[in-house]
Amino acid sequence: MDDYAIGVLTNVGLISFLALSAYLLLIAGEMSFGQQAFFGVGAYAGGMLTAMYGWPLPLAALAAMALGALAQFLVGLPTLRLRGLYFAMATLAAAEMARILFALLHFQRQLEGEPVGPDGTQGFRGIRWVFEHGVEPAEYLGIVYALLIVALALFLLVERSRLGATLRGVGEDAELAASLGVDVNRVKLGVAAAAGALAALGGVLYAHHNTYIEPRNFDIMLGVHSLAYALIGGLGTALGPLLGVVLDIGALEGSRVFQGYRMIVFGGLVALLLIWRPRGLLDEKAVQWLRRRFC
Amino acid sequence: MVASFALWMQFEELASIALPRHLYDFPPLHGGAPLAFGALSLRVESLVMLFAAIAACALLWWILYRTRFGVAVRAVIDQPQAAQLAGISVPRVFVLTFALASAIGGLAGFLIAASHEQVTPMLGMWSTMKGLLAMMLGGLGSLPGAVLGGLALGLLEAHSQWFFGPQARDLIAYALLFLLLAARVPWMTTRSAS
Repeated sequence: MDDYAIGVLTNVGLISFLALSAYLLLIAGEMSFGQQAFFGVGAYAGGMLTAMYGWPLPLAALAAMALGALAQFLVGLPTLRLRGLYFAMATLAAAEMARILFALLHFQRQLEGEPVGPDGTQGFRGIRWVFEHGVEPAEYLGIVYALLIVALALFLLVERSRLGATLRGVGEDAELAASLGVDVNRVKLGVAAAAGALAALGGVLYAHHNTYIEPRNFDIMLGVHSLAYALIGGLGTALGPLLGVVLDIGALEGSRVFQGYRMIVFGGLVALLLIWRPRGLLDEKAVQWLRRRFC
Repeated sequence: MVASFALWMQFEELASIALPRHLYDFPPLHGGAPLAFGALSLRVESLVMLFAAIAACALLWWILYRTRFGVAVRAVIDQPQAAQLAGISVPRVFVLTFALASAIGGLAGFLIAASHEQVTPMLGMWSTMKGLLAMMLGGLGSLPGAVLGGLALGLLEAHSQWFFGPQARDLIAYALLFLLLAARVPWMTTRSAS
């Protein structure tokens, strides 16, 4: 594989974490326009821990996931009772606040005579743990996909379990679920924390893949894309969001067929698909049909 | 909502391709000096903008509350199924409402470009966020609310920029929206919307 292919595949893997976190909230009936914030929290926290304090990447990733989970839990606490557009706007406001806070964050340490750390809008460069520890791009690709497979396996396990049925029940009709004895608020807060951790994990891996991050990376378009991936891929299975990411980054950017017109093609695709299949390509019906056919 | 973001992405890309430079000059409405009222000076563009906004509001109010079409729009918002049963074509109302909203957006875009005397393909993001903020602050589905929200947002931004600088200005606006939503103030969450 050449470097370009590895780069595209790594990006597909990284963004998949974010798409999965948007998907998780969508199944539980909430549309969040703010997942990019927790991706950013993970990227900044993980990058600061490895680059400024010399933590090993796995430990930094765990800490960043915990922080992402906590952040989304705290945002979820006052907002998850809101419905539809109100929740979307509240998460959007929270994410824009996070982006501006990243831009206001000036916190550097002198390491070997050079300042290291986030420098406001100048960004945060020198997140070189992967490079310094001799991890080849192909190996890093392997790490990203191994983690993605673990996350997917967890998703597929949960979806077959009682917990999965509870999640979909809450997403489908929260009042009905509550009348069956489900503590809707607790379920949603749990979902929010898990989604925050997933997004943060993607963010850590993103920061260490790029070695440079800046507040602009985590703007609203990233969040809209991750939602769009989950929605066009389908809400029937955790493989849906992956299909969405592969369609956009893999097929459109990777093939370079449309070049500068990629956004136009992708935007059109999203709009058409949402009219034709409001719950995506792999929606619940398609998944059931496939199961009957092949399982 | 996601679909409209997707469409907007397309338009922005189209505009970027059609207008590759970052900034373009835009002819001002009025070349002359600002009007002076004692110690205060006022640009003619600002006055034009104010009157255009008042005229647009009046027109919109008249359409929504004094025409058959307005009754249909409000019926569709409250009870789409009942409106359909009463013989209102829901898709037609949607398309016409969308067109009306786009016309107001176009007027606003022209006025903003004329008062800044420059235009950029990246205008969309900025104006969408401002519009959403103003609308949410004033309460959904209320015409006076949208106007009050817009004015409140403008005052808040002008003052916080004066005291704390441009980055804090946006931070404060978003924080206010978040806090008001989290506190579920009654005027913002009375109407259901999707």
